[in-house]
Amino acid sequence: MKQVLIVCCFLLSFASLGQKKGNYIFSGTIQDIETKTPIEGASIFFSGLSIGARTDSSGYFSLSLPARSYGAVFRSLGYKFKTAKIDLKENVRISIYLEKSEQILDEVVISEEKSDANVSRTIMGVEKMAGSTLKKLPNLMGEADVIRSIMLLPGVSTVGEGASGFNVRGGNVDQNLVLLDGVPLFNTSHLFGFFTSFNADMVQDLSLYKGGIPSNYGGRASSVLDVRMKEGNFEKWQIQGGLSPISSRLLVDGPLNKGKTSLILGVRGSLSDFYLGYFPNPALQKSKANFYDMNVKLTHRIGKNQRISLSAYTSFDGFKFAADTMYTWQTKTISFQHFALWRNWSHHFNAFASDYSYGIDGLKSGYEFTWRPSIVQKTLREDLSLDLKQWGRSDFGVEFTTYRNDAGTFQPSTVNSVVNTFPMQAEYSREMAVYVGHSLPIYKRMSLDLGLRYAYYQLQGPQVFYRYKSGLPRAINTITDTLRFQSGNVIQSYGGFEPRLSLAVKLDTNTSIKIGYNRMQQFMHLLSNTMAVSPVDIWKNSNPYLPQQVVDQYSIGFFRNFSNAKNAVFEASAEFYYKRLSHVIDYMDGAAIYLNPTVETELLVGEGRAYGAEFFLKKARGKRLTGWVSYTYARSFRLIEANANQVAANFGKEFPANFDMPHNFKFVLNNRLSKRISFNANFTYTSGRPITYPNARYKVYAFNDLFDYGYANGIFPRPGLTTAGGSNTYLTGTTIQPLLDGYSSPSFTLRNQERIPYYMRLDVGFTIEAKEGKRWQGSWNFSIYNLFARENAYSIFFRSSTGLINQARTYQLSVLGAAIPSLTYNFKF
Amino acid sequence: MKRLLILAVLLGLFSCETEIMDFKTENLSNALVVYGEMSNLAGPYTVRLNYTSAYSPFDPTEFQGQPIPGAVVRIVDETGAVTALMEIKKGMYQSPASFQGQVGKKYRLEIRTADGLDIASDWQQLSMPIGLKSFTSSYKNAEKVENMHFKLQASLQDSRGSEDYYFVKRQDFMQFLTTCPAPPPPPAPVPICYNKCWQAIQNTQPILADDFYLDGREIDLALESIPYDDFTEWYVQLEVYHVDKATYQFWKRQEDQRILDGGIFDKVPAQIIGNLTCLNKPDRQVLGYFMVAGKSKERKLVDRYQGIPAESYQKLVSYIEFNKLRYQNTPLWDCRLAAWIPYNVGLSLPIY
Repeated sequence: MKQVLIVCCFLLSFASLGQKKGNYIFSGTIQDIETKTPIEGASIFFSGLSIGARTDSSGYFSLSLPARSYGAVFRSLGYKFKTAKIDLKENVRISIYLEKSEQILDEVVISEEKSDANVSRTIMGVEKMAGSTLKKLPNLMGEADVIRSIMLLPGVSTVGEGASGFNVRGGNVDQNLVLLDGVPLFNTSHLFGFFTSFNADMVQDLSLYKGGIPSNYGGRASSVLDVRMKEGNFEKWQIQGGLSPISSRLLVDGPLNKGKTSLILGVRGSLSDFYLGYFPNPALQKSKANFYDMNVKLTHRIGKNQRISLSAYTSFDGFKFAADTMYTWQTKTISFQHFALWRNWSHHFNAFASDYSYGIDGLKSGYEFTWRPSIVQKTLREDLSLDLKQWGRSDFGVEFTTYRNDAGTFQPSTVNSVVNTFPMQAEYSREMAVYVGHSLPIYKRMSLDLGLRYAYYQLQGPQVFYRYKSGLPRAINTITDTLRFQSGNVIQSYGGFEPRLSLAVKLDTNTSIKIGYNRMQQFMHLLSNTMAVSPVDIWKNSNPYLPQQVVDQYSIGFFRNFSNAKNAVFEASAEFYYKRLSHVIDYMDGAAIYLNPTVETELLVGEGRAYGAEFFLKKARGKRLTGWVSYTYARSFRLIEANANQVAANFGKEFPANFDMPHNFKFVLNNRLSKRISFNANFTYTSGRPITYPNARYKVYAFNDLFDYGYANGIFPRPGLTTAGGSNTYLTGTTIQPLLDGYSSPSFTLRNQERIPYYMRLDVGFTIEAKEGKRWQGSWNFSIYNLFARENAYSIFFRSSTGLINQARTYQLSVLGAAIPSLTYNFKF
Repeated sequence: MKRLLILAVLLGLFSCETEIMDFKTENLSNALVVYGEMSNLAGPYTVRLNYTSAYSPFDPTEFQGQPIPGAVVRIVDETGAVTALMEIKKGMYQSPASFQGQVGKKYRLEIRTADGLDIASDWQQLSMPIGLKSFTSSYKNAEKVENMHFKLQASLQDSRGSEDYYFVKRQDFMQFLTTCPAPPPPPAPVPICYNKCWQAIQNTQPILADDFYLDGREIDLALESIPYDDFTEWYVQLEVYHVDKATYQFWKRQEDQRILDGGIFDKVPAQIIGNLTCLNKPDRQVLGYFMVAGKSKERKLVDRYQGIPAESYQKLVSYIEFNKLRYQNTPLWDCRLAAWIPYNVGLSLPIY
């Protein structure tokens, strides 16, 4: 607690910094003239001054200038610039409305940032993408997709097609904080992992922080994907939507009170059940593969400087393949946010609740059951930001969260079901965090981002907890005591500081070097010992046996921008990082983690390390051709050693993580063929992921009784005749033994020592934009995913069948081993 | 339109599975494999010792793994009584016929190999055997002979209030008929013709059951049906082992590994270690299991002749004729010589 107070004092000390004498505050907002939505990243330049300003996510800017008259230029990509004369004799506040530019050939693919943001920004390891960019990338089955799109960025990978989640710089899937308008999501997948669980039409922009993570983010150990949703149009109603082979989308937005209150509603639903009914295969006809999601956001402006919003999101997936088991997962969130600007302060309050439930329903007659774990999160959060002019900007805030993590009671779902109830406990925990961050320019060429976050966690009762015999690996038979904690009793606490540091040194206007360090902690963990994360994998809170995961990342980067004779802008960067992961979770061989009240006996805690280099060249602006090319070398390892309370994994030797894929090469291009038609393509090459191959096999019970019986009674061996009347072939002394069938098992030794074949894929697409000026705007997107129909290996696996002489068989599985065309129609009116 | 819809994209339809025919490994493991069972039923009990073999050996004699001869193998009970096992064949050790497990007693297997490795199992308590509550068969008619079958139903009565786990072995015995040759011309005597023999159908697929959600209730065993492709006799034998949780988990994990299909939710490949450890070289892996459990055994005759609809029977007769299931082209005086029948156990069934 003392540590918390120190941090609070540190936060408050920033508030005493004041305004420089003789200067006045020039502030305001920049908005879209039609929709009245704020424009983030718009630039403000002044005549006779080398400094400028940029708008934040609420379109707000503020800076302190000497008293005199200025010619100011307001500009943002995709908008016509605007000029104004400013007479600064006192504090001035203005509202600027920019009109969309009709010159659409000058396009940025990946971000709407200033062209030198790559060099001038202090932090590194950050990728930003506009919602409009998502739709220009070639897609799978016509679905523009957030997570599939960020896979095209360096440092982001996945274990395979259809796998849920993504891995960033050697971190696990659960170590990514995915925020949808500030609300963390525990599952981001539709149809297992083929699509993202929120609608790309609703996305305003997204930021992926791989390193240099600001101190206002916390709770996950490796990365942050911050997705901001659009606000509704404040001036006019509009409808847009799309039809693709896999789903249909509709988005409606407009003013409830013109200029004051807007509403946006986006819904998306799958069509797969519709198709399944047409298949002649009875198994497919009995199958289900549903998903839908819905976002709604109500925004109300209070005066010029305040805004409140109420938003809700829900996502549902249900999957059943012929069998009697239905998998479902569902997310529901609701949040209230208040934004306010006051002088050089900005305030953002966020209160939200989310309910993520997942599980399995058994549908077999007489044995109907349901198992539905869930996580209910409730959070209050306050973020403050203070613009200190030439002293930079300070951010600080506090966050308080409670969790109810229910492991899911297994119970009958109908009155006729004969199954018994198997209760599982709910875990209660709370998490508090305070943070401070400061961005400080140091002379003209240096800038420093400092941050400190303190996170504190408590696991509380009511809970029944097992104590294990000290000095022996945890196992059911080493339980020594059962402890019962009452409601509110603290079972275990963890906490710690998370320092964040980024320093940028500008060598010239186009070149900079940056270094960074950040520490992140994570108190909730996803338990998954399958090849890829499953939507019904359970989350587990930190407890006395599972300390918080801690990741320290050190990075250095070199950034350079340059342009060619045609004024095209290129951004080049090389980033190097090293990560140390503490208390990462691993599993006993063959661990059983579902419905296991003593799941800690199946878990191991160890260390990890990851390092890599990311080389990136982006043509950010160009008349026709834009895109990027990247190469990443990345490694990720785990080390699970034996100690007094656990056995080692992999004989205590370090092994590559399941997603350790050293070489990644990606390119993305967008070529505007005409004003309305563009061609886009992306290419991905990655090394094969690690896999454990069997290096031996063995048999246990080997048809024993029968063989022994035959042997003892003289039945075996004996001569025989073939159907062709030839001499004996079976059942002779020399052949009976080899033919002896048995329970054949593969024997594995060291983990992840081999690799599946490399992965390579080329996707292409054409987009035909709508004609300008028409009320009904229809656009088409035609894509081919995996153009060369390459059968990329998802896995190599081994079957040891019984009843066959050749019992050791090896197979390769390709999840999407064909070229997949799709045609999508999008409309807007 | 319908055709177009059928062509519509569905994710599963784009996946493909191909067998890799040239996958080769060498046996890089020096693990020992031990497997033995004992129960309350009369012995002798057998324990096998061998090494692992290469994953895909081309030499079939390597399928089983090289046996480990010359070991001292014994079963010790909780009172310290020792029963030595005799090596009856290379790597195959057997207890005296007089030795029989007692319910409630704890046993452990101890081995000293010829090269000095001391291996021991955990202590295993011999549990109370659980018999089958029901074991029946019923004929299910169909249009085609290939779809006609006998549905098998077997169940256990679980006891309430305790966690119970079951490991079940199934062994089927099917009678097959051969065709006798034409009798020799008189006056040569007509030899006796043995044309009814038994085939033991290969099966080492265990059936695992537990009372996780059916505590105290009747637990159905998942049994595959029997085809109606002949009217000969068919016996199904079930051996029910009432095992402890650790034993059940060992088999469950083995099964998890064995049913991998490479899918995205497959378990990560993993070595499954049983209840055996090498005491004087803990790093030396010992695979396999020493299973001590209360055991019951039941055999059920499935009558494939009585009570069948006449029309179905006629279809079956034609089916047998068409498929030459009497091996008319290879007449034999003695069906025991029919070497093309795998596990032809001869004229009689193994002793029950």
